[in-house]
Amino acid sequence: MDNHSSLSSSINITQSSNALYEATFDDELNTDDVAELTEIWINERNCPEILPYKKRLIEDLMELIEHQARTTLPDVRERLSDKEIEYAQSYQELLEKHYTKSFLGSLPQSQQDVNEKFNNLSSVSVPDDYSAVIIRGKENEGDIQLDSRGEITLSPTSIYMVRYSDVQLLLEEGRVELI
Amino acid sequence: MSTFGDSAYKLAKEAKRTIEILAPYNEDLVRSICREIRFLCSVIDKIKAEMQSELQNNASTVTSILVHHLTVKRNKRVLMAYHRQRANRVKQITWDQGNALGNENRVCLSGPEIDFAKEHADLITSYKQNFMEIDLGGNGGIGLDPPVDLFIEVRVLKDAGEVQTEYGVLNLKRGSQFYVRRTDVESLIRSGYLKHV
Repeated sequence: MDNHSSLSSSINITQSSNALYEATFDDELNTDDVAELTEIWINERNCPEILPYKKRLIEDLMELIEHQARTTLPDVRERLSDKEIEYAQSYQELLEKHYTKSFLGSLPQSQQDVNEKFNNLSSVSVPDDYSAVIIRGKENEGDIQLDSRGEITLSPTSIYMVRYSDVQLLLEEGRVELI
Repeated sequence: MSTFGDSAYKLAKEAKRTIEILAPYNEDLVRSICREIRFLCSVIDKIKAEMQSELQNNASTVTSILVHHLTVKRNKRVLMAYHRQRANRVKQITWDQGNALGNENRVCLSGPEIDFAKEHADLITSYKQNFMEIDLGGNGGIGLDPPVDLFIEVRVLKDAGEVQTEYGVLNLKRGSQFYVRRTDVESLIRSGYLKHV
């Protein structure tokens, strides 16, 4: 049991050291499942015979991962028109070709990739969900609890500055407008 | 002998200094950074090969690999930033002026950048072909700013002779200025005869 709890605490540490925008999933992550998987994996490694496959557990975790993947990377393609996708792809190819001709081509093979991720610096920039936006309610809806902290009153006359992540859904549902 | 990362530092400074303008492409610095990356990578490979053969895994060897590796990554990052900043500037120029890059800009560009400018202009043109009925701007046409007035003040850059408009005849002599309806002169602005002031 002792072993078990120290394992799950070490997992928590790696989770909390994740990048800021990933931190929002911490509460969703079922650490019990992860701890259990770690335990059965260690058992499997140290066992002379093959152990039963934990189907239920794997399914749960797969579901969780799929959900997280969807949340972290909203498919931009779904938001673009066909023409825009076509343009974006051509433009990306053009830019990569330009970089290759300018300098990437003369670097060693191992350094020729356009995508770089090093520590928490990435050459691919992602939208900052934590950035501030200014909003106004579309209708009189009364008080709304925000995810991060605090309450706001949704009405066409109340203007707030909030984190984008707090109002992302409200915006999608057309209940607030950005100004 | 210069220290590793010096050239990249210089290029980064230059990029920062020229953020507002299009400066001549610094081929020499870019080349020397590329050369330095190749050299650093070969050093890393050599150390790694020695580590495997002698099984020496001491802290100083690992540190030396790390330092070389970090320098490679930093150099590459500076190269990416420099080229990206310039590519954005080139895009801005082609958007504002159309395919005509102009000589003063052309001399500042590298070979690949001239190709990039042309191909990007083609890309924009083919995207805009999907919306023939509306003018999305670019290629020397209307800018990205929403039109404020129906009438605009224009200055004549090149003699264009007499032009017939709904409101009478304009005699476009170089240096003169007119207050005209935007839609009457848009094509003249695009072809470089007039300038919106």
